[in-house]
Amino acid sequence: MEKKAAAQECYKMKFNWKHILLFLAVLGPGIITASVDNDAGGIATYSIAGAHFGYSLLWTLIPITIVLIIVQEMAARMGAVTGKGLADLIRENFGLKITLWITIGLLIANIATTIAEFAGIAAAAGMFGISKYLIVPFAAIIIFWLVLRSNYKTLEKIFLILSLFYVTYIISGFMAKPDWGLALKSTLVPSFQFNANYLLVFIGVIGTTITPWMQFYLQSSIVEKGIRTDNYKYSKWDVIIGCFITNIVSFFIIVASAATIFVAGIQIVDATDAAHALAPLAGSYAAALFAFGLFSAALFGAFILPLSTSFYICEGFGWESGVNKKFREAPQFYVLFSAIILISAAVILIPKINLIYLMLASQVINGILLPVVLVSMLKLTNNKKLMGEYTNSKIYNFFVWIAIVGIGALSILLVLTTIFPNLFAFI
Amino acid sequence: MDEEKKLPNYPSSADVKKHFVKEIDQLLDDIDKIKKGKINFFTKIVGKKIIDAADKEMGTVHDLIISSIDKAPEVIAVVFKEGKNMKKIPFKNVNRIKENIYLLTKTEETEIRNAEENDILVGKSLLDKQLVDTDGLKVVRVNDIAFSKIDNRFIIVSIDVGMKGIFRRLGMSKLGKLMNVKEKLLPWDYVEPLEIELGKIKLTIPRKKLSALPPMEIADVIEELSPRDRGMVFNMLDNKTAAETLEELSPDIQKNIIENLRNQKVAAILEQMDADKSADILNTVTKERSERLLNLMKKDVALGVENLLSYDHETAGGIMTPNFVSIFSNHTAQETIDYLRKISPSAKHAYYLYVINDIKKLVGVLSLRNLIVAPPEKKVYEIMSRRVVSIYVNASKEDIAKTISAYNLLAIPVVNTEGQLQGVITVDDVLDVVIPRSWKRRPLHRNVTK
Repeated sequence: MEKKAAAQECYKMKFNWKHILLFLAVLGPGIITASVDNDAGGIATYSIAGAHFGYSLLWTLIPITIVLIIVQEMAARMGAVTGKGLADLIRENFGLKITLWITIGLLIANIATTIAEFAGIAAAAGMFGISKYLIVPFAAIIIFWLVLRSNYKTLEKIFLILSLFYVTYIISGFMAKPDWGLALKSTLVPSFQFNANYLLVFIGVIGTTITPWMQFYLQSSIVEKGIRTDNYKYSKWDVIIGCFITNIVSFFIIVASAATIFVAGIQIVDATDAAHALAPLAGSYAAALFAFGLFSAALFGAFILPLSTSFYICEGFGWESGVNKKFREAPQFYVLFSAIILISAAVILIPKINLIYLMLASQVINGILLPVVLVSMLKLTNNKKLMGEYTNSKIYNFFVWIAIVGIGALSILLVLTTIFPNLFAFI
Repeated sequence: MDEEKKLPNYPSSADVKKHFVKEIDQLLDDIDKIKKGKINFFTKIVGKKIIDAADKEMGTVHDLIISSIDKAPEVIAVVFKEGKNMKKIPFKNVNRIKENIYLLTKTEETEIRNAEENDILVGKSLLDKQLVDTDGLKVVRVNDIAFSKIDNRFIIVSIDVGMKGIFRRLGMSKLGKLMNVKEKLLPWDYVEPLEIELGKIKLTIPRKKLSALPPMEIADVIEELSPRDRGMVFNMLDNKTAAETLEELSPDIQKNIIENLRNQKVAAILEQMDADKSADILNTVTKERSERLLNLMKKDVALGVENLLSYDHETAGGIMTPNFVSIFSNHTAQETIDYLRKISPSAKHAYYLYVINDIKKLVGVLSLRNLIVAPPEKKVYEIMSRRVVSIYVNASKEDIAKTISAYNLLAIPVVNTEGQLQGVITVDDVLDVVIPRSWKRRPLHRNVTK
């Protein structure tokens, strides 16, 4: 019944310019949030997945896309129906304690991730021969200036342009001249390998795609954009299209490194390795495109993560927030944002800094928080008082539960393998 | 409160007064209660065991039900959970709240009912909710709710919006103490619960300070307070506002406030006042205290006041202010204008420019107009008026009033027997001494804009 209605709606939308305009008006939060998913860490993970296991992990992208759509749609719907951020709702419905622990955990994890983004900026610029002592302060100042000086509308346009730069990965994917038949088959037919490395990368791919902070950011930006229930049906498509685009980009990153680095049998540990390895195999243009994509993705992440962090801390404590507000109106928001940028950029400028433990800590925290955040979201979207007629349907809940149990189990595995690196050694 | 809301945009001074008297009372009450530990915090009550008269445990407190959400919400029932059901016990059955909640009655005598849909639960409808100010901007969240027992009723007195509340709720009060976090309570009077369903609570007054009121209004408020509270309010004011407020008060209340303040504060306030006014106040305290206060004041200010103190305060010498503007007869007009610009006297002190010669003798008077229109190189003695009305330091206040009114003056110079200029009395100084006090304090017909 519901499906039929949705299908009809979809059909009607096809030839109606009014609908398209309405869709363009709400477009933004979904595509932006999903795109940032492929940040510096994401690109590294997908490159490694392609470089070490060829096309064989491509099939995971389909279930990941579905789960991502389910989770993001809940966050977007909550934002549109309640007009409040996720941290707002958690504080109001689950109390101070849980809010505080989630906030502290996310703060640490997000600062670590922001540092990783700046590391990505530094590494990508390094490939073009630009010193990190030049590019990192420069990037920090640009981010500062844009967020402090512009409003949500301009900022969103900048983010959408940054999302467009991911097309570089699609181009380098084609330039790598992959075996399209095998790639397609590997995407549609699941396969599995029982060995420690495969499991680690498999968990990593899922862990990097669905993160706690995304849910907070998406919901806050839906609220700040002012999307309400009457235009939510268009916003839903923003979310769905965003999830597809991000996984199409992931697909091409995996394909590019599978067709070249995997075939050549080179071992890599991060995204810059991948870009370097691409040069002799797919040409220097492909490598440059890959590096440029990494740069814009990392810059994008360095924008969004501090924003997202400031959003949910302010929501949790009840302080005013939002890039549309003046400094005087939302002082805590801007101070938090500036502090996170400052700390993260400063850490990268320390010569010979080793970030491995910081990254592992952030991975553990995110892994622990994700199931908590997902269960909170599930409880909130089923709260009739909050959501009214927009609560989850029974079938929807069934899928959300499967997703949560799946992601939860993988998150715990991720935490365990991070703490005990030899967990899978017995296999 | 409701009546006040219906007022037109310009409330009368009496309404403003009433409102702020209440506000200060509330503030002082709250400070008192915190000091005496009479406040019960909601999050401390939740989780307490409910013990009946027969020492039987009935359950643990889950929430509290209040009568209404508007003025002074009173607790009417205690809610506990029985399985999945929420049960309520009327608050009148509660004997005392200590480490547990003790009831007056046994379980079987207690009227236990199911909590209903339209009961207002404190924890559910207030705790963790968003506070927005009058501009609709988010300020902070409700960290806790403070109750107090007033006239045997258990009432919400304030909401906790500080870090101390956060630490208390996390069960880390000790850590909070170590970090020296401050208690921050907002009197319930400030709160206007709007859109409770949406979880938003509005503040009626945007964090306004008492100091923002005109001194006249503060003076009115202070007259209504008890002697001890007056001192507390004065300590909250900045020195300049305190000085201006003090000038508005009647001598007996002035005396009473000065008695309740520490010497440092009094000296700081006196420094901000005109010398004649501070001399008046120093006349009301004992000789020893007066000397000690003068010692604490800045040297130059103290000197002027001391000079005035030597005169009988019923005579011209006691009423006059030494802060006047005198110019020199042998200066040129240009030099005089430059001099005035440098010292930039207040309007009150520049009605007339009194001219003195080199032995400080009053020789003439000059209006600002005549000074400005004169050719810059002319000497003051060439342009001044030599006919200047003055009075002696020992003239009575009636004499001063008569002279001022006879010549239609705004100010009059005071000279000693040698004819040297000692001070100036302005028309408002004279009004203060001549008009009966009861007259002056009659309500004025004017508008007070918000």
